[in-house]
Amino acid sequence: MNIFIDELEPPTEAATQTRFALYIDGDFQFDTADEKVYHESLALPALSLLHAHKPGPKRVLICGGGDGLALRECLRFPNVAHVDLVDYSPEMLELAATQFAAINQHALEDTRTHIHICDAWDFLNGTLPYDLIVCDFTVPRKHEDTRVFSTEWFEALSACLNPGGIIAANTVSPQTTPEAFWCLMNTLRAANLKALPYRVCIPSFRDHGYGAWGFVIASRDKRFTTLDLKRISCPVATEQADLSRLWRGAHFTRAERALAHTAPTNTIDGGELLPLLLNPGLAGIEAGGLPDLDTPYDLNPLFNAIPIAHPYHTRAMIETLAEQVAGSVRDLDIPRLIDAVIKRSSRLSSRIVDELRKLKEFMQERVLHFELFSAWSYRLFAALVILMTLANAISPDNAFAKGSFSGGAHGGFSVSHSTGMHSSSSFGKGSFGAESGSPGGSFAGRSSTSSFGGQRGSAISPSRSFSSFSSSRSNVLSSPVSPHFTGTGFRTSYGRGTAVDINGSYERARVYNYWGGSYGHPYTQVYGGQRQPAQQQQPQPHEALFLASDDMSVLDNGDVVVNVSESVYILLTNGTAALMSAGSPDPIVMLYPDPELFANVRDQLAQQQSSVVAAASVRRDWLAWSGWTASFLPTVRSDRDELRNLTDLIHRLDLAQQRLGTPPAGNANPGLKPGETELFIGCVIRQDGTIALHEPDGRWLSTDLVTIKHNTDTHPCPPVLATAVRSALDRVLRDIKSGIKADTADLQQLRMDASELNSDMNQYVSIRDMYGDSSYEVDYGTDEIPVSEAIFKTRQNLNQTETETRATEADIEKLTTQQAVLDAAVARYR
Amino acid sequence: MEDEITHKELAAAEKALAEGRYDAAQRLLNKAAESGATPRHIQDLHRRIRTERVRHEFAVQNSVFGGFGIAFVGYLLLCIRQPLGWGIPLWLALAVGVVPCAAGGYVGRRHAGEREPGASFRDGAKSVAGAMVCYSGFSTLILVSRLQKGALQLGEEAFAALLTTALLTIVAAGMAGVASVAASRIGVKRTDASA
Repeated sequence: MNIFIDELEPPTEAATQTRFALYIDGDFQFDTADEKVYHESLALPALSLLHAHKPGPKRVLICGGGDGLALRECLRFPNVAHVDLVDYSPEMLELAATQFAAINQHALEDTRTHIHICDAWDFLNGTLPYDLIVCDFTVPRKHEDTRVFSTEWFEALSACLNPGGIIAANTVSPQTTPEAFWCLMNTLRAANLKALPYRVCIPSFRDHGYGAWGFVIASRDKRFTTLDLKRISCPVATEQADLSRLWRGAHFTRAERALAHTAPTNTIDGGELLPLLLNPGLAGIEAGGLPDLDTPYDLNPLFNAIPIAHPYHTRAMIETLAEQVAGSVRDLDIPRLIDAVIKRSSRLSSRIVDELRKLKEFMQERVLHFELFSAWSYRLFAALVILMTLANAISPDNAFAKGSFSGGAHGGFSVSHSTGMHSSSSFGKGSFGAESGSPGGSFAGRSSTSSFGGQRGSAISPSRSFSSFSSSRSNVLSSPVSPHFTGTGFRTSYGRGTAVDINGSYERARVYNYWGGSYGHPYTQVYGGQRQPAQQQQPQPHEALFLASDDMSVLDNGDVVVNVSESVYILLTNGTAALMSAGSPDPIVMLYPDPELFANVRDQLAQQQSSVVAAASVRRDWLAWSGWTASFLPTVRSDRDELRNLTDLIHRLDLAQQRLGTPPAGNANPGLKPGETELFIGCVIRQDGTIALHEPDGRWLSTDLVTIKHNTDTHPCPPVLATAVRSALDRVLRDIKSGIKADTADLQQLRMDASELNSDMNQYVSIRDMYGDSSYEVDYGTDEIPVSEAIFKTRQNLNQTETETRATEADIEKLTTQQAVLDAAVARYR
Repeated sequence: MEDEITHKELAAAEKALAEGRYDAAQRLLNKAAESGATPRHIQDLHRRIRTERVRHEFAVQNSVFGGFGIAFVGYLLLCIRQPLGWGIPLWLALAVGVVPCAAGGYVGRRHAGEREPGASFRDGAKSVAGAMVCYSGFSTLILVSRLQKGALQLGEEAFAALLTTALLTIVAAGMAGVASVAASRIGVKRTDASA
């Protein structure tokens, strides 16, 4: 055994120990800078799992690992009562006791440690069983070394395990030698062990070209899963390995796992492991059959056919030599060569000369044409690419369908979508992006924070709400409308007793019973029990047909209603706004028809209508292709029904915009005064706790739900109005509470995100400082990017998370204040 | 020495070669050889007949790519709008009339002189049907993906839509293929007639 210690950095004031790397027979073993990543990942997961499933004192056997580093990790763990360390190399054990003593924390001197200098095979015979066996062998470089990676070896280990015992072993790299890695997994399975492989990125290993390193936890009795690793709880603190993320390394893609189907099992006699280690990539070729030899100048199949038989031979050496030969062959002037050969034809047989002549003719006739065709086909391809690009520029929807599918006149929209984790993605460009977005009506949870934080003013409804005027004003301007349909409402339910929203989701239609025609004016008519002449007809029931938002519906006659609560709504028609009750066809009170509100409602309807128009257009295009199959394909029949319903909705929305009318120009809505809280459109709770209703003439009417004060007149408050206000109070309070709950959950998530991001940031910074190289590549999600970029991105994410956290906190504070006002009002008016 | 008959036969062979009638050219050349044409003339003409035949075979073999290219470009231009955008009558005329006929006609012309029965039809149908598969598949898949939240998704509905797409593609390809067959026949006939 040839041991080499490479002293990398002398001790400094900051680091009192020399940084060094150990090589055995030229193979890198560890670098003191990050050896703990390796040894903690090897020993601690198995010990933790063992601890969880089998508490009590433990006997541990370490095979190999003469450096004492795996031993150090085992001794750190509680309840480890006895450790046998078996290594055949006295030199290594001597180093462990002297030069490595500082880094293995004098583990060899521990009273629980028992050292055995012998072959591990010999030691296993007749030994007492163990709870944990750790295999920490060097990567095999010759046939004899592979014995301790064989089926026979693992069977012997399995026989030495206590019930519930675990084997933890280092393997090889699943990244650079995947066939060998899966061969080892198959070997463990052949020994009747249930294996859970995982990999860990160790910077110094990667620097040496070893790639991510593989480990395995195996047991005779229990099948450990990724979930076990995810739930792992280690009672001792790790210094470099992150055990909480270990489970990610246990996830292998299907393609990676597929190698296990073709990988062999390593036995002592077969020696299948070594060729796989020395020739990574060969197994795939053998399994996949012959390579495609028709591909011109693709020499890789040839290179791979030459096996590496010695550890010091490399694929690069073979490739260099073969490239030289191939280069010479490639540069041959074949016709000239043939001419030269033919000139010397006197020394050749006439048959060979004939064959050569035929070859020359063949090349002149066929090969030249082929080259002509190749050149022509490239030109054609280039022309097609240009054409496609032009077609895409002219009409992206039809050519590549990646352009925006905007909501009509309002243009496309881009929705900033917070993932709640480490990044923020912007949709709205690229593949159908503009078709993504928040649905028009639901803004619960995070959306309420991110979309409306700081925009609510004094509106008290936390959801997107038309019943609250000040929120409706901003909502209409900011809310995206999704032009696509996910629910089946428009296919099956529209107009059949259900109300459908812009996403195709549907619910049972609410029925509104009121007098036809418009409601003229004053509240006095209501109190007086008189009706206007226009209302001298029977009240008509009208079903909600389309849910334009959370609380705004379009009825089958085109009227627009805004739901205040389950029993109270505001009817917007012909430029009037009437507060209505479900129990009566008469208005409770007429409200001030704010022109701005009407304009916003109209905008919202127009925006949704344009989305429906766009969606109908897609369906129309689809049916132009597939319409003829409707007679025998039910789905196409449904598509046709859906188009019919969408077309109907377009007309209804037209009607709704017409019937909405324009209120007479009056005083502009003064907005909320300080201390006022809006209950619903035209209704506020004043600072003194009284409730004020905004009258059509612009004046305010105040009530304590017992009396109504109008100018100087006082009337008794109609019970129906008191009931309506109470139900509105209940509903809004409920909404606020759910808003606070959602915001609190968001806040919790954001704090967890921030904590994870900080942890990531610390890791990146320590890696950068350790290597002093900002281009050093680190794992970032599923990518590997330079550490400087990772730090930059993480910092950006942190900033964004902080901003969102602040906004959510402000939101919660505001909602809490409003809740207090409403609580007081509810207590007063109950 | 070559006599006048030999000269005539050689000239006739040259003419047949120029018109793409390679079998006739070879036959006339054989006659000229029997009549005493010089070996230099025979070898030269024989080599040219063989080269031209190879060139023609190559052209025939690759006519399917050419036809596909023409149909592909045609359908690419049709892609700019959906059928409703063109208007169904115009679109039908273009998609199953003009484009297949152009591609089929081209294939037919490239097959002129080809004596293998049905080759021009087969190649014409193949090239146009292939392009139509690309066009109809592309267009309908875009629509399906736009119908389904902007991206193809797995599910019963998506499966049904894809099945419909496959059916549409096959039918459209069949229609275009049939149209191209007629055009390729016209192309062959006209070229033969002009020859």
